[in-house]
Amino acid sequence: MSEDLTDSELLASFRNPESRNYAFNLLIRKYQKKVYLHIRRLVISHDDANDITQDAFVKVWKNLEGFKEESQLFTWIYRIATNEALSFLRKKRNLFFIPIVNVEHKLARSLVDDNYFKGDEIQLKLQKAILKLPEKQRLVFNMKYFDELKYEEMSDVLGTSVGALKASYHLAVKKIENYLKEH
Amino acid sequence: MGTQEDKQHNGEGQTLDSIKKGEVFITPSSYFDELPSNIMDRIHHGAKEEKPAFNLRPILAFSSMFVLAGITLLFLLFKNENLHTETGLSEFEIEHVLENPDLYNISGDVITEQYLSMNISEEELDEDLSLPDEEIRSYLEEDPDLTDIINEY
Repeated sequence: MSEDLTDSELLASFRNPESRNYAFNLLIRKYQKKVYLHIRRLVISHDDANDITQDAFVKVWKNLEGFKEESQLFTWIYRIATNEALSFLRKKRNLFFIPIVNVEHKLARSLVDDNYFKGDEIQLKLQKAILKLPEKQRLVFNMKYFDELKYEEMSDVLGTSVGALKASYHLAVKKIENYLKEH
Repeated sequence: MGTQEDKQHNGEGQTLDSIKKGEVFITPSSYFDELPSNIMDRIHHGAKEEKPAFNLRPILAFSSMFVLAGITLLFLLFKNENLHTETGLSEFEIEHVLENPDLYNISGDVITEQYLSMNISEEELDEDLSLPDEEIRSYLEEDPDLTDIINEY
């Protein structure tokens, strides 16, 4: 079986009990980098991103049987990954009883000592600027700027209108550029 | 004034377009080679190990339990202290019991205690016990047998 299967072929293979494991293995290999990096940009730490990526794929395994193909497989997986990452951040906030800004502030500080961060000074500053954004804007910015998703795909993942996403991205870019000028 | 390169290095006047868009987040070597089998292991062999991370919630739960236990203990102690006077009966019920001690098989001591526990001031008691002068006078004029009076007490 080729590793370049389309999503429909992967799904058909997954629905066959004999090839289920192999198909899912291929599915992970196909999307793992995108999913991991999307999560990593939100939670910053590699260890947390690793845990959440695994959780997300376990959820995909459990629910794939019932996937109705009303949306693209990738945006569906992306939605699961996004929900897992956001739920992790919310738990973290609840755990330490600190408001939203402080968790992101903590994450920005952790970047400096992160062995798995290889950005230069400007890229570090960019990440800090992104972490200053409100959660939804941060998501939108990452998905558009780094993952290069189309607004329609983002709309499918986040359940927000294309217009609202465009406005959100525009606002995020302005804030980031202001931050870069001031710091 | 610095060169454009200096400005970029210092982050002055940066726009997003001028920032190199390379991947800044890296992973341990062979991470993506091992990830599929790690996930498949988790799917087939159950839950992952819980990280022994510092967790504030259990501490809070224990603190709340201790506070609750303390409050309950204080309440019980307070309740015990007042148990001998606190019957939980209304004044009407107490009166009914006092009027019909035989029905409830209650001793005289308990009745006395109940009388004392009722919220009656000494003045009220004095008022109840005091007789008008005329009544006393008429009582004395009846010339009662003193031995009867003594025997009454």
